Amino acid sequence: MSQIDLGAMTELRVNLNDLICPISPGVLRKWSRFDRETIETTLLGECVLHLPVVRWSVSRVNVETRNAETRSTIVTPNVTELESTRTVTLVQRLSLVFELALEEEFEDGTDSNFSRALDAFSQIYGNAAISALENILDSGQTNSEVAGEALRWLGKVQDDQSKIYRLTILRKSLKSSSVRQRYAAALGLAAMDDPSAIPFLSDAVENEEHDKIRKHFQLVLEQLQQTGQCHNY
Amino acid sequence: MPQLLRADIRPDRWFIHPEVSWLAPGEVQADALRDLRTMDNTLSVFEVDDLANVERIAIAVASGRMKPDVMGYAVFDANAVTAGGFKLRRVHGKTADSVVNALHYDIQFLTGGRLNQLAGVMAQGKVDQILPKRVKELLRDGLAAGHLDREEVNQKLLSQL
Repeated sequence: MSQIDLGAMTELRVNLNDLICPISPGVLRKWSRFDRETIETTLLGECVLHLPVVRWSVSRVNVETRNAETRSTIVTPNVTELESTRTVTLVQRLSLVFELALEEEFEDGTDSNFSRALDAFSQIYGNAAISALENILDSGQTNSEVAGEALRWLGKVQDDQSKIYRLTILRKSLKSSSVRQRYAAALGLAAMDDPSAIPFLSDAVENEEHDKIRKHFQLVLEQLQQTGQCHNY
Repeated sequence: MPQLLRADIRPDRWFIHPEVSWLAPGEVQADALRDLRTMDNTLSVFEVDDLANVERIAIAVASGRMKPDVMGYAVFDANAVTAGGFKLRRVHGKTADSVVNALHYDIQFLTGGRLNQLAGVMAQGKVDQILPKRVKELLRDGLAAGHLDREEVNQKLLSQL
C-alpha cells in the first residue's frame, strides 16, 4: 500500500465528475499520516460534505495538491480502484463524516457541512442512511456535540418516507445516558412537531432526573400538545 | 442596568453540575466557550431593561439568521460583570429592531482568561431558549407589529416566514 506524504502540501482539491471540491487545511493535516486507500475513501466522504448530491458512479477523480513551488496530480484512481471504495459500508462512510464534523463549529439558524452531508446521504440511501446513523449513535462512541447535531438534523429533515424511523430514533434518544443527547432529541421532536411523540415525552418528563432537562422536555411537550389540539379542530 | 442578555447560545453547552456529573460545582463546560465568539476581543450583549423584553431581544438577533431555528440565550447579572472589572461600552446594535439596537453593549478588552471568567458569570444566570416554531411565530409578530424592519431582516429567513 503506497504512502502519500501530504504534510507539506498547502492545497488539495478533488475533481469528482468535474465538480471541484476543496479540502480544508485541517483535514489535510489529519491525512498526512494516512495511507492512500484511506485517503481515497475519506476524500469521497469529504466530497459528500461539500456537494449537495454525490452519486457513486464516479467516472473520474483527480486529486491535486500544491505546495509553494509545485502543483501535481498525485492520485488518479482508475475505475477499478474506485470500485473498491464502494465496498466500504455505509456505516464506515458515515463514520468518516462524523469524524470530519469534529472540526466544525455548529451554529443554530444555519446549515452546517455536516447537516448537508447527512442530507446527501439521506437523499441517496434513504432509510439505509438513517439506519447507519442510528448504528453510529448507538455505538456510544460519538462525540456529544456531533451526536446532538445529528439528532437535531433528524428532526429537521423533510422526508416523509423516513419520518417514522426518525421519530423512533428521537424517542429512543430521550432515554440516552448523555444529557446533551437527551436535550437534542427533544429539540429534534420539537422541529418535527408530531403529536404522536406526546406519550413518549410525557414519560420522559416523568422520568427525567435533572430539572433543566425536564423543563426542556416540558416545553417541547406543551408545543406538541398545542399542535395536537390544532389538528383536532 | 440589572441584567444582560447574550443570545445565540446552545443551552446544552451551558449545562453545569449536576447535569454534567464530571463538572465540579461552579465550573463550565469548555464547549460553552464556542458560544462566546469574540470579534476584536469584544463580545456582543444586550441590556435587559425589562424582563418582558427578553423575547424581543432574542427575536431581534434571530432575525439576522438564515433559518427560524431554536434561539438560546443567557440572562445574567450585570452587576457581577461590572464588579468583575469587565469593560462595557454602549454600541448601537445591528439587528432589524431599532429599539433592541439601543440596548446593545460590547464587553471589551477580553482575554482568554477573562472570557472564561465571564462564562462562569453567565452560567450562574438563567439559560433558556425559544423553540423554532415559536421563533417563527415571534418573527411574524415582530414584522406585523413593525418592531422588525423588513429590509433589515435576513432575506433568506424572510422567505421562510
